[in-house]
Amino acid sequence: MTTTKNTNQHFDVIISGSGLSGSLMALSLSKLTKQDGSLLSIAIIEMQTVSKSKLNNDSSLFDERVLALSHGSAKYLNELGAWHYLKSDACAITDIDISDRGHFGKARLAAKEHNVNALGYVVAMEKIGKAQLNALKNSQADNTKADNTKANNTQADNIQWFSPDSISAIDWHTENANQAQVRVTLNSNKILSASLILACDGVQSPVRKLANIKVNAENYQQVALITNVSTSKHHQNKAFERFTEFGPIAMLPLTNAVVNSSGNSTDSNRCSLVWTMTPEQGKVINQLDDTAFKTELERAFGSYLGTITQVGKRHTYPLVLLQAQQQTYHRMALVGNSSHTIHPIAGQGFNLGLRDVKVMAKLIEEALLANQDIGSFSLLQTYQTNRAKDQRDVIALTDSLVTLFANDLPPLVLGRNIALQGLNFMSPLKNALVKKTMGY
Amino acid sequence: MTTKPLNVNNDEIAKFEQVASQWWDLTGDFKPLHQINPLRVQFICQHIAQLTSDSTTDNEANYSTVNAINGLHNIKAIDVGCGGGILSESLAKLGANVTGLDMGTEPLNVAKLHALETGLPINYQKITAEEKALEAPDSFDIVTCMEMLEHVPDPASVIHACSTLVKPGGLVFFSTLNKNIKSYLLAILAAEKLFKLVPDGTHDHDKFIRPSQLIAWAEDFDLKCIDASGIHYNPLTENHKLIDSLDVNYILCCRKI
Repeated sequence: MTTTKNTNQHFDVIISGSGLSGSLMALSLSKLTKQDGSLLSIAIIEMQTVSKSKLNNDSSLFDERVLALSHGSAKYLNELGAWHYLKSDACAITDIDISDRGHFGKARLAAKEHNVNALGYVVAMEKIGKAQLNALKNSQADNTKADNTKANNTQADNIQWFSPDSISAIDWHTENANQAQVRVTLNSNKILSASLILACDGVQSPVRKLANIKVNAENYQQVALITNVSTSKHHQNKAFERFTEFGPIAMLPLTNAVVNSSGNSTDSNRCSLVWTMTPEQGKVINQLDDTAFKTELERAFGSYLGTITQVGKRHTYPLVLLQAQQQTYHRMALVGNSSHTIHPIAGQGFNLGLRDVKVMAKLIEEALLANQDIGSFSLLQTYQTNRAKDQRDVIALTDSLVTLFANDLPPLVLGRNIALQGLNFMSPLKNALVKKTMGY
Repeated sequence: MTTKPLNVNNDEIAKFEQVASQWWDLTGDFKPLHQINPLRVQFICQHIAQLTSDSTTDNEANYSTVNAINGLHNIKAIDVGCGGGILSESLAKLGANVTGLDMGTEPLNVAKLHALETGLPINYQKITAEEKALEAPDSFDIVTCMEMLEHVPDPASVIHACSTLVKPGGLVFFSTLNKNIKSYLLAILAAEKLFKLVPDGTHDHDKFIRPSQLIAWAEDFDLKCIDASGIHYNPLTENHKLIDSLDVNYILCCRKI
């Protein structure tokens, strides 16, 4: 492929964004081949500069933002070769303790009973992004090797980065019988064309806006307080979901933050806290100093993990569900947060976003095998139908979290805050809890 | 046929003029319509997707005009009896060039205003399907005619017009209400009288059309019925889905021969 800048460069797929879903999307497509044996050509458009230092710098901050990967998500990352970059930073959840303050109701889920090593994993979002980019680099290196053994002169340049750059315009009207494509203009004035555009560009998705797809917002009238804390007792890989009159509290086990050169080890028993409460409570709690906050948290959470020894920077956000009115447009699909975001625990929607990626990659692979257009309406229709159902299921769970808590009913939520909904154990347990809650 | 009076029932038009302002109120009189609209869009998209994969595999000469279709993007669609534009907008959002026809001035004004708000370039016209067919025969890739046939004096004439409007190989979608005791109980007694889902007098059971009748009319005018589906709506649970039974509300997909 010999091309010069500013001429129309053609790709099979353009991926807008290289964050969590964008890099995963690229990784999932990086080894797919077309009928003629050549690799699928991919352009990645990334607004920020992706530097090598970003890939390697290991900033183990006490305050890093984390998310819970379901067992299925971890499995997929493993299949793609990203997991081994992540393993050492991932904290396995082997048990989940669900309790209700002031009630007898208590449930425990154990990985052992479900024949898995872990029910899920808690990982820093930043590390997932890095692991995926590293796996992508690795996959590219493999591709180059494969090409060389075939004594082929071409390099594995099937993935091209345009960064820092962004999509400023999309021309959907260039299509004719010979050109199955859309044309994209970048901020740098480069012009690219592709058979399919995948919008992995987050909650503010520029591509979604260019397609004039509107977003529905639902405000739950709740806020989520998020911070990392240290406790006097080690979590023993246990996650806690506790329902209290001060709101549901989820405590997720974390790996120890890397001890820095000063030998500071106060952050050894780290947990990630997600505390959902009314906006009024949020205001009050936000005004407390760290010592007073520790006391409040201990009062609400109890002493399962001993005392709270350290609290990080606290963030409070309104709980809002954002959902795009359409998942697809002509030769275009929304993937991940551009399509659905549960703010501020957006990372928790990652399991859902990961399934977007997985389904899209599978559909593209099938289309390539059948020598069909990867941007066809029928492919996008299948994607839309499949994703709509999954989204409905996850959102129904989110809705029940908020409304049930508001009614001070016993637990239904479990796993919602900690986003383990992809796990097999969820359905029977959820059903049992639903029945209990509804009084059947 | 050209000398006949317009195929319009003025009482019917008047009914819709009165409630026009409600058209885009998602919780108002047209709530059921908003809820079942995604089902219609789903049904339409399914068949367009089918058309897309057909056109890449078979190259029948008489379907050549619609061969280039890849989804709704850039196709020419006409929505006959568009009312306030609920379906027209959905099709436009998917990239279709939509023309919307209605004989009600108020619903059309509402439709035009709303399209301005949403920024969709829809061409709304106050003209009957029959007149439009004379003006633009064989012009559209798809024709939609939803919940309209039961409101005109001569449904067959509208079906004829739809067949004239669509290109050979193109698709025509009809939806209407079946004529039997169940549809009377549900569409009139339950929907209008008991639950007041739609304004009293919206429908006249005598004008409801059996699927067999509608298919016979379609075939008279070169339209081959290729699929039919029922649209289920439960007013209590607001549950809605496509079903096999055509007993009450149903939708047909026809292809122009």
